[in-house]
Amino acid sequence: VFSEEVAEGVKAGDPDAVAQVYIVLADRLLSYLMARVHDRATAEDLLEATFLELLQKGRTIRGGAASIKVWLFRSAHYNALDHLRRLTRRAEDLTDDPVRLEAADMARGPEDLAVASDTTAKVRRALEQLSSDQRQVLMLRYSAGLSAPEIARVLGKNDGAIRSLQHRGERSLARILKEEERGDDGEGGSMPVRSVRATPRFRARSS
Amino acid sequence: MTHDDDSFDSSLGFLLSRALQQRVDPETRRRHLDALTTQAVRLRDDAPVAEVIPLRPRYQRFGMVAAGLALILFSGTAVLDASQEALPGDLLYTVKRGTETARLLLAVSPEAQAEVRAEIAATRSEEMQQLAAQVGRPAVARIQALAEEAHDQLAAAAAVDPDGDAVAEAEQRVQEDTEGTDQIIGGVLPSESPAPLPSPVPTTPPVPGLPPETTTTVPAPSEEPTPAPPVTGPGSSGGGIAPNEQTP
Repeated sequence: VFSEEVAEGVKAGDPDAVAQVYIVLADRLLSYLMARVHDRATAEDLLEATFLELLQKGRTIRGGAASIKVWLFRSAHYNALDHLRRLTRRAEDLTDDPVRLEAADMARGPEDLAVASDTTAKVRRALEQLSSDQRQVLMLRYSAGLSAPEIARVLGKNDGAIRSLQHRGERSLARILKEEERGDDGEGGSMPVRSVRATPRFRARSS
Repeated sequence: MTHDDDSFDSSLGFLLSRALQQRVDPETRRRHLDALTTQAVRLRDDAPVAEVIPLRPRYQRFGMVAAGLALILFSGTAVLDASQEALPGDLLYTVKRGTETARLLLAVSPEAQAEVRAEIAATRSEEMQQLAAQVGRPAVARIQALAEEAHDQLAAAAAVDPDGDAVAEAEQRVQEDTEGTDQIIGGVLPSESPAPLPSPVPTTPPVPGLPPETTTTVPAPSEEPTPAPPVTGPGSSGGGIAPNEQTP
């Protein structure tokens, strides 16, 4: 990911070393945070807070580059969790639906909007139907690129539990995507509506 | 992105990474890196150069001495010179006492400490006389306090260096000043009976069978380096002050 020399710099509180880590991992962390909080501005704020925390507490990290990567995702995970808890306390509407992700994509301009394909939207909607643990494991596994032991350290679970969550999440995701494919073939592309309405949160909002 | 185990489904990975991929835009990246630089500067500036230890009671004296030394270093000698003339109740008297405490702490050897104590005793004695000379000033209690301190400092000095010249000189001066002060007080307050001043030298109890004038003995400082507490009986001459006739 980044050199051990950079890792030593991070642990010494060197801002240049932290900036190098930022260049390497910021996109992946932002992806993870966006998937958690579904708001680009909030995700960017949490990303900044996470790296400021790394600058301040890098001395406390034991290990090299791999440990710093895990530390960052773990910090981002808890920062997102704190944010969501604050939202819950304020009784704000927690929208986990992928519409806000798409709105965030649109806010990025036409260039980014072009990237968001129909397949992307289907995958996002399928993800929302997984359990929270399965979704987090798949996001950390496939979007952030962490190994199962690293995810275990981020989420505070054991390796077996992570592998199990990953396996079940993959099977569920594949099943949902296949169902959507069939729906697309049979209903002329109107499948996503059924998928989104199937989520418990959506049902709660619309009732 | 490396995947070091066989649990990674590459086709699913492609789909998910494509679906969830976000990129930090250049403006946000610049803002975040600026924030990192600012925070690094703040952390460096806030880093304590030395741990600040709150003053505990036993260090407060040293703090006072340090303040005295700082005053010596940075304010020149004008304030210190002025403070040497200060009397109890004056604004600069605290500075004067602080200087004395500093000198006492800086005196390493017991002999040096005895010398400083003797000088302090003499200073108290001089203050006592000056205070007594200020007619109308309610100074009796302060004079008594000064006499007691002069007595204590002399006792401490004599305990360390009973044969020292400085101690002997201070003792003589204290005796003379105490006697003179007592006479002044008696003149200022003739109608009152002021509390007798402490005697810096001990008096022996009356010996039965001897005439009264021989009952009070004044031993030389070398013979009795640590005077006993003052005798405050109303019958002692001069309000309790006995001149040390044997002091050279």
